[in-house]
Amino acid sequence: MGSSLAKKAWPAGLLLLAALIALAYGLRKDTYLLNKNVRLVFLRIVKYKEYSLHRGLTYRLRFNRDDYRVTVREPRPNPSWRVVAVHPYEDSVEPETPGLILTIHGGKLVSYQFEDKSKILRSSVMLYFHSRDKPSLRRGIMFSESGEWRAL
Amino acid sequence: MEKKRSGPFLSRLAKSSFLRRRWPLLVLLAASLIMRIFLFQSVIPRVHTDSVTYFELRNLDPVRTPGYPLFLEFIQFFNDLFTISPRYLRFIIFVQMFFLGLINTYLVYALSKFLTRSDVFSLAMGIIYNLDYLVIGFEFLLLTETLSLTFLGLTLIFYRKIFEAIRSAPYLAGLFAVCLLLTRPSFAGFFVCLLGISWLVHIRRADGAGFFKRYGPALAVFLLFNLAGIGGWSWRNKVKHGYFGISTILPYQLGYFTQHFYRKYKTVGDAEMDKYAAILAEEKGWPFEFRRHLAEEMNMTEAQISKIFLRLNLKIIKDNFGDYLSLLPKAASSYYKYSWDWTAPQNKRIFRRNPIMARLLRLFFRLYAPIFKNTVALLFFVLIIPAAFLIATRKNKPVFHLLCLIEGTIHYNFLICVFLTPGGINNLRYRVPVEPFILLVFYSALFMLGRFLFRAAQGKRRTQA
Repeated sequence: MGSSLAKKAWPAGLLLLAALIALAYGLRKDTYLLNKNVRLVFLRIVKYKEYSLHRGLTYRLRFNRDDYRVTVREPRPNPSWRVVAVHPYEDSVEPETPGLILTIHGGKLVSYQFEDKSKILRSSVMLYFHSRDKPSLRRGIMFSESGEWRAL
Repeated sequence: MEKKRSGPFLSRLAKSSFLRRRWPLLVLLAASLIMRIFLFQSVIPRVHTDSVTYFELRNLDPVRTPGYPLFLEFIQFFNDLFTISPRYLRFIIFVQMFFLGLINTYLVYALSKFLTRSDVFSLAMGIIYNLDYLVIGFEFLLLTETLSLTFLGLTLIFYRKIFEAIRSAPYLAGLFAVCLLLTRPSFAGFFVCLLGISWLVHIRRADGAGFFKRYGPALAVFLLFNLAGIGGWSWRNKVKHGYFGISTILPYQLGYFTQHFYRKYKTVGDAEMDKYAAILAEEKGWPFEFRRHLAEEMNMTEAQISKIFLRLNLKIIKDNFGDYLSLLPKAASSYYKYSWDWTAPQNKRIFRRNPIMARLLRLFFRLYAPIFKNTVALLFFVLIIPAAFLIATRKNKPVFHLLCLIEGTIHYNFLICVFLTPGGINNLRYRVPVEPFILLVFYSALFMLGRFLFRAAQGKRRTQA
């Protein structure tokens, strides 16, 4: 009796869980997409940090309104910046202040600056992202002078 | 009043058959949980060069299989949906430690119990598993080892249940075997090993002829799951990258062998192959530099590079087979090293903050390191004692079968890792998913021997009395 009940309870429980997750996704879709975008940006910076350390190259990430571009400095034969990836933001997410440029070298964030150099930078800078559909909703990544960064 | 109400509850709790039956498991899980709570506070997530290749499931490198990236995606989905933590890497480690770590503890407990039928030994084995820092340490790393151990344990548990005629077992065993091979491509041939062992164990029975009749349909389901898993992902790679196979990692792994003797390449008049051999020499034999050269300077796809590199490596190995063989002993000794190198950046901080635990972990290190260092002791540890245990249990078919499966797993992993990866690239890491099984068989053998001697002594005393 107990065993047959357990056999029925398992699939029912799984179905209920799936339904609850689907409901949560429906209710929090904007938050989910915003978090996902910020997480992807964060993890890609970690990836290029690791590559810069392992390969001894310098990477630069430029955050535009619709996408962010990753370039690498070619050491040979003529030093130049080559585009390695262009990542568009998913869905309706965009950075609040486009134009931030991060330079990563030797496994560290060595500089952060805005394209428009008149913008004053302090010992840390926040790169906020928001959803175009819900501008009040925003998440950010903080870059600091020590060469570290963290999502907030 | 409060006291009167709590009295019957506590006595009911004490009388509960569930608690009475499961107390060793509950104690074990509680101890594992407490240990992980202490350790987790000291862990700072660090990424390895390999870790970053698992971050993006969508842009997965063909060298990688989707098991671990899918697991990461699953964790991050919940994190993104419920805004649990902005410390993404730490959150992954949290899940690895508290979810996979506890499942693995349970799996070691369950397998121990099946082998020895002893609650107390299974509890001890679970604790021993938790004190093996070589294995536990990988829970802090963003690598596939911990997840592989989970899938390996689940595959073995459910595969064994196929022979108890449990209807869902072949489906679950097949599913977990596919998850395993998609997490760690070196397990792509594992299903053949399991099926072969089962056939050998059961075919010798008096009713051996009925093996296929009895287990055939269930094993066919298991086999089909594996073929579908391998075929499905290979087909996806064919469509997306023009390469039929679950991963393109093999040429690079072999490249670590040929890195030692690539200069001995003999020109054969195949202008194309000679050209690639020259590029390999230009890149000083480094596999991933060779790959980068072909991808960036010759605009070749991953499938093309992989095919060329495999041909080139096989030719170099074939022409210099002695050089290849001479690297195998070093590969084996590197595989059977016992060191905490992989967690080195974390160790100091973790041990400083948890001095009591550090003392226990170091005690186990001092016990294991000499065994793994000494060839004779190692042979006893991984071959002679397990062989004696197998002989001793040969009449108890279910235990013998499980033991054969575990031993098959241990040696399958050893052979794949040693023949396909040389020493010097820290291939100790590849042992991690089977390390708990090595210890499990060894300690179970000692326990069974101890129990046998104890019972024999008791019997002798009784007859004397």
